[in-house]
Amino acid sequence: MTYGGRDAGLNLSQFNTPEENMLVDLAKNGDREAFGKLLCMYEKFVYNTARLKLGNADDAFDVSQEIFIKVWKNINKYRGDCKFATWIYKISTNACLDFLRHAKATATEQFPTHIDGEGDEIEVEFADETVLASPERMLEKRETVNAVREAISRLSPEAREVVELRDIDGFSYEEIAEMTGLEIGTVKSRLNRARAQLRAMLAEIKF
Amino acid sequence: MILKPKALDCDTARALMFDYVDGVLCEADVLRLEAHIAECDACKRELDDCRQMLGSVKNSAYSVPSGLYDSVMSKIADMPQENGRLTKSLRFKPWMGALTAACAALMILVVGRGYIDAGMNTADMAEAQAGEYARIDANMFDSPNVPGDAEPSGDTSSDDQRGGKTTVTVTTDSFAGFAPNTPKEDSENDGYGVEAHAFSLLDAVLAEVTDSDTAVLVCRKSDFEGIIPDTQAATVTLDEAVYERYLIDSDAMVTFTGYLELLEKLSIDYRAAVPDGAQFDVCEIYLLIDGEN
Repeated sequence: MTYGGRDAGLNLSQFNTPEENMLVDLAKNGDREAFGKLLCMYEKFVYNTARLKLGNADDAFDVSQEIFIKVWKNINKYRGDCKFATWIYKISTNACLDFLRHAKATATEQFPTHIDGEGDEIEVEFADETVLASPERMLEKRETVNAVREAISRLSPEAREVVELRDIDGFSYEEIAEMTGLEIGTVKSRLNRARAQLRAMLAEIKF
Repeated sequence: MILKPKALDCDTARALMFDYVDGVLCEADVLRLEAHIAECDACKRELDDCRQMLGSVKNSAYSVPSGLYDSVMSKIADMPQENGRLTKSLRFKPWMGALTAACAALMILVVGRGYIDAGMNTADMAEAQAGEYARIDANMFDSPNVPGDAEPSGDTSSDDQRGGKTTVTVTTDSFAGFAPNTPKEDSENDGYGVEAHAFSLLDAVLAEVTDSDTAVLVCRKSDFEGIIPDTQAATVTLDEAVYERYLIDSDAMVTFTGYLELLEKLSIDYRAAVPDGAQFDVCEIYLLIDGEN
């Protein structure tokens, strides 16, 4: 498995648009090309959801595949009464929970609770860089990214979920409320607590 | 007298910083915070740290493994979709006209759960019991559907209110006025012609269903003579695998599971018939065999 090749990015402006609706309709009619475009739009979102919930790159890859296959097979059940992103997110979280339940039932050792453990890949994006970074700058940035990922992995699953949806994926409070079934006020308070925890953790390591 | 906004202390200012960076702070607080920041170097540094942290969190997103796209696309290359009611093969066909006639003969009884538990002893259900029927049970699962706002538009009747138990009946008369062999391509009902029309009426019926209801669908086997092979009708079952699948897929907007399963088997687009927001505990579907009108 290689990493870092595809990076369609999470562009929320693509979500919930007439074009997306058209692609969904085409995919419902068995159009694999349209489904492929939806896959490009959502792969980063789905993969990061799985990655943060499972804490392991290989598992996240496998579960992401399962999620998209499930989306393909069941796309006719999407009736448009919520955003497509919400529908995919719910399928993703269910798939991750199923995986964790199965892993818990079969594993003899505790499931990893942190991210980027030994042997895990370290992938750093330089989306905001327009020129090649120096090796020192790359190393510094990689360390920063790893520190942030480590801190996020230490959050509770509930706190991690809102951080992921808001601060990584960029969904609005209203969208997060729809996706998670929480009240908007709960989303806000949970996010505030999570950010404060993140700050404290990152301050400890002199971030 | 001009009221001057109350100045912020550092603790309050810091509590507002993430909302400020998020752009969700109200205008009054934005002004107060910016005024404070202009005078407080410590809080200005704190705000910069907040911005930097959120930026770093955003940049901590993982890149997608290069093989994911190709792997998924190769796996679905020959994989059929489930419940493909909107596939091209389901575009209007001659037999669908006949099927529409069958749809028109559907009689939907939506009754309260307690009513079902009490033994279905109304005239309609007695009729159902009088015939030999194949029974399909399906546990229903919670759905994340938000309640819909569709207004009932069909010719339906809520003709029984007894102690919170509601009976809604749709009869053949409800479907009068459209010819079963007249496809309405590109109509507002997805271009599926008259069967879509029929199901818009069913939708109106099912809009009557509330969260606490149990729905019973009764259809006459004779209505399907020559359309649905006996074997196909007989194989409408919900085995453990299907049960489990729907359990897993409960978030996939499936609520009226057993009903959907039947409609799938009958190649009917069920989507319009599922009430938004309906959550059922039990669904029982009776397919009458040799039942009389």
